[in-house]
This record gives sequence, C-alpha cells and structure tokens, in this order.
Amino acid sequence: MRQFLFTNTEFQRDNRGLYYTLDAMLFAGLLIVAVVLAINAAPTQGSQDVAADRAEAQLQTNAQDVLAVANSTGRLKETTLYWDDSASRWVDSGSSERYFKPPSDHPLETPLSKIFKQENIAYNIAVIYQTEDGSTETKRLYYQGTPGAHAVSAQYTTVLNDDTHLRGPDSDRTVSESSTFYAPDAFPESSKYNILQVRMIVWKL
Amino acid sequence: MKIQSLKRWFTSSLRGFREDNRGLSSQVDFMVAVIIYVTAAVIALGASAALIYGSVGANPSNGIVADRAADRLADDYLVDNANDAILDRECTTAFFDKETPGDCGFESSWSSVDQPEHYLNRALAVEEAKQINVTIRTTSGSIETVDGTRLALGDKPPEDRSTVHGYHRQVGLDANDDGAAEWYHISVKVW
Repeated sequence: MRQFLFTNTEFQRDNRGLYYTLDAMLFAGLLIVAVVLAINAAPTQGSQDVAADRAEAQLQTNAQDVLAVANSTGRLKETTLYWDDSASRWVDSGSSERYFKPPSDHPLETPLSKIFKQENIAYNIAVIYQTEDGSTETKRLYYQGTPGAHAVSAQYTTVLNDDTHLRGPDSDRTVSESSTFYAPDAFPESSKYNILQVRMIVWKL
Repeated sequence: MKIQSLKRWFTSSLRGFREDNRGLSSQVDFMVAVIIYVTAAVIALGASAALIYGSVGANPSNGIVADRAADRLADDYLVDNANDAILDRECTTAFFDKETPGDCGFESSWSSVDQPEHYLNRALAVEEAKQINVTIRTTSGSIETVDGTRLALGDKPPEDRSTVHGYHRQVGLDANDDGAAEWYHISVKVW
C-alpha cells in the first residue's frame, strides 16, 4: 500500500488529492443526509412505541387475569347473580341501575377498587346473555365512560342453571324463581338456564 | 484600492494553487479522504441504530424477558395446570425455597447449580448477565409469606427505575390454607 501510494506517479503529477478530500467530505455529508431521510421515511418503531405496546399487553394481561381469578374463585358467577330482585336492578346500584365503582360487598370489589385503582385503570363491564329466540342482549354492570385510546377487552363465560341462587338480599331465590332477573331462561327444555359472557373493557387513565 | 489588492491576492493564490506541486501531498489527501469517508459511514450507521431504537437507558429486550418469566411462573411453574388462575401452595413455596417437589413444573437441577445466585436465571431461562427479581405481593403491595417462606427471590432492583423493566400477573393464592383464595400479583423485574 505504502509503495503504491508513494510511487504512484499519477498521484504525484496532478492535483486530484485535494479533490478526493472534498469529494469524500461531500459524499460523507450526502451519506448522513440519505440515512436520516431514509429513517424518517420508513415506518420505524421507536422506543416509545415499544413501551406503548408493552403497556397495552400488560393491560390486556391484567384484565384477562382478573376475570380468570374471579372465575376460579367463583366470584365471576357471583357477580352475574348480584341482583336485587325486589328493586329489579344490581344490588346497591341506585337509580342509574349500574355501578360506577364497586359497593363494599361486591364480589369484584377487591380487583376493581384495589388492583385497577392502584394502576389507574378505568373499566366498563357488561354481561351478555342469551334471549329465548337465541339472540344476545347486553346488560351494563359497570360504566365509567367512553373507553380511551388503546383500550383492550377481555371476556369470560359462565353458565347458570335453573337452581342457581341469586346473591345479595334475595339469595333465597333461584334465577328461575326470580321475577325480575335480567336474563331469561334461554333453555326451558333443560336444567341449564343461560350462558353469560362477562365482557370487560379497560384502559389507562 | 483594497478591492484591487484583494483581486491580486486571489489571482496569485489561484496561480500558486495551480502551479505548486500539489501532487506531492495527493497520497496524504487520499488517505485523509478515506478516513473521513469511513468515519462518516461508521457515524451514520451508529446513528441509525440509535434513531431506530432510541437512546433509552433500559435494554428493550429486558421487557420481553420479564414478560416471559412472569408467564412461565403464572402459567406453568406455580400452578397445577396452565388453565389454573390459583397458585399451588406447595409449588409456590418450593420455588421460593429453591426446592423441588415431584408434581411441580420445575427441575431439581436448578437448585444444585454451582452458583446459587444464578438459581433464578437458570429457572427462568434468563441469561446470567441480567439481574432478575421475583416477588408475590398482596393487593396492598407487601410481600407475602406462606408457611414461613417469604415469596421473594433475587437482588433488590436499582434505584434508577429507568433501567428496570417489569411485568406482573394477577393470580389467586390460598395463603392461609383456609379454602379461600385471595388476590395477589406476581411481579418480575429485570435489569
């Protein structure tokens, strides 16, 4: 290399060396500009997007876990049965006939008032039930407003039988004995009463 | 007058530029050019990585590691089967005691590794260069103790939270063995 550079007579006879330097500087600048433009034009995923995706995944996991634990401990079914038959609405839900936040004895009081509250998570929960003609209707249980951006949903299914008892003040009555229970007997030919789907939509405040 | 002298200086400079033996330094100029170009290329490539991934302090892959480790604990090691949302008491205490009961989904080899401080890394398949902390906490945030076993393993995470990635799972645990599972969460932190 050294021999090539210092014995190359072409290099020594002209003034190209200076232009090589200028060329290199020019192309170095062009290279940097090209890379910056290419990155700006391409749909790249920055660190903030990664963090947002992870927060969304954590939110989804939280919602699914809460329903799964509630189902395993029986509190999910209790939630769907927490019905005041005399007042024809959810127990202690007031005139709005749905909850904004859980009353103290509600089966989902712990996850909603502790876990979700600590993590600034808002939620809407609804129970979707079957009607006699096979279609579905929705009964609102919790409503905290229009879901925010990046809201996620989770759902769990529970089955009621004709002899399943209500929870709350009218726990001596079964769902089939109740006169005002929101879900009808969708399977009158069998001991199965209805198939309920508890759907939760959660989002970060 | 000044303008004329400036013109004279400029034309003489140009003449000197053309007539001097610039060729003698061409090799040096060429080498300088190569060095400038290579340096610019290295800077451009380095900057592109920083632009794409950002210059955050924490390693983004740690988030995935924490996520995977939490799932492994909640869906495999600490439960009887993957669909359970309630933790198995025996498996849970055994894991935090670094023991190995027969029915649990983790292996005895982890507890007999040469370096006990790498038990968690081995158990959760996390490379040993990473630090990991696992706790099971109540809804009020305190670390639970079951049958005398404190449900916490690993070093304390650093004060600088920007370097720590965490993931948690909500689970049920019958901590008092009275048949009533309560709400807990598994917290995994990686840095």
